[in-house]
This record gives sequence, C-alpha cells and structure tokens, in this order.
Amino acid sequence: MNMSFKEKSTWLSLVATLLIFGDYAISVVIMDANVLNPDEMIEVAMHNLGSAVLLIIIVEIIFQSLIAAGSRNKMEIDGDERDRLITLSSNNSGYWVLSIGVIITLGHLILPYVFGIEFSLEERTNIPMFKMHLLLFTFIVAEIVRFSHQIYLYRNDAV
Amino acid sequence: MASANKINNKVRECRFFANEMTQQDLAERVGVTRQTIMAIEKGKYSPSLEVAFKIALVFQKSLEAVFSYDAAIE
Repeated sequence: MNMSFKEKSTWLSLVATLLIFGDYAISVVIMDANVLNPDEMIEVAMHNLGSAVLLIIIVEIIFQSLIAAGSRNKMEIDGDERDRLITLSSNNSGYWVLSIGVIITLGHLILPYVFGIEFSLEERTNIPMFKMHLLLFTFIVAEIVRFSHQIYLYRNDAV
Repeated sequence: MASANKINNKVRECRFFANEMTQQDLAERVGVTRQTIMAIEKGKYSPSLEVAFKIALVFQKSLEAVFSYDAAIE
C-alpha cells in the first residue's frame, strides 16, 4: 500500500486507540456489581485506566519512532500543506463529536437540578465514576472519528 | 479549501517531457510529499498558489502553462 508517514502514523494511532481503549471500555462496561463493591470497582477501573494510558504512550513512542525511522525524508515526517489541510478537516469532525459528548454530559449533570428531571443513565449501568467515564468515552470516540476521517481523506487523495 | 475539479493541470505531461521526472523527484524539488504530487496529478487536490508556482518553476513554464481554471465546472 502506498502510504505517507502521516497516514501510517494515523493508522497506528487508530489501531492503538481501538485496541487499548476498546479493551478498557469493555472491561469497565462488563464489571459485575454482584462480585465487586463500588469502591473495588473504582479501584479496578483506575488501575485498568492507568495501564491503558501507560500502554498507549509506550506503543505510540515505540511504533511512531519505527515508522519515522523508515521514512524516506524529513518532508514526509514534517508533512506538507495537504497534510495540514487533512489534519484541520479531521480535527473539525472530532471536535463535533467531542462537543456533542460534552453537551450530553452537561445535560446529564444539570437536568436534575434545574428542571427536576430525573434522567439518570448512571442508575441503569454498573459503570463506576459514570460522569468521568462518559467524558472519557466521548474523548475516545472523538479521537476514533478524527483518525478515521483523516484516513478516509488520505485514502481518497482528497482534502 | 478549493474545489478539486475546477483546476486542471498538466503536471503528468510536464514530468514526461522533463525526461520522465519521477513524482518523488518533483516532490522533493517542490517541498511536498509524493502523495501530494499524486493527488494533484489525479485532479483530486488543488495546490496552494505557492506550490503551483514552485511546480511551474521546476518545469520552467508559466503558471498558466501548467495549471488552468475551468469556470464551466461548478
């Protein structure tokens, strides 16, 4: 496949995010409240989150360095005007997803106090530190959308 | 961002007449990636004025000899 350094780097970030944070998300969602008490659930979630963050940093450093080492010239690593346009365009997509997630989280926080509406997703799930995870998952989805849009633009030779 | 279809170019043709200059060679002279030259040749990406001028300079031609604007395509 004919790929520039930036495209390879984006593929790596997408796959690493999907695998590492996907695994973390599954581990949090399937936590069994019958087996663990709330404090233990938070402890396990924080331990898994710490491991996920550490792992993604290590994976990114090692593999991005390997990709950079395999690149032909400095221009490819720095990127050109088309790379910058693609980055801007995909950042915009990620921003929309992040904004929607933040608005949903704010709504979830504000509605019970302002309008007295008891709409709590929190009670329907076993996810510990629900509001933090809502924001975290929003951020992860925004990143996945951003990387996917970037790859789509690279694959279509378009901006 | 410019609409890709409105700007036509003869970059492929110019490369051919420049002793079959490779995309990589042109990319290095212009200061962009080979993928960008490929996208320009396919008409999928319209370069900035600066890059367009640099490409024309490499082939020692005027900008109009390499790039043209087709107002009919909307």
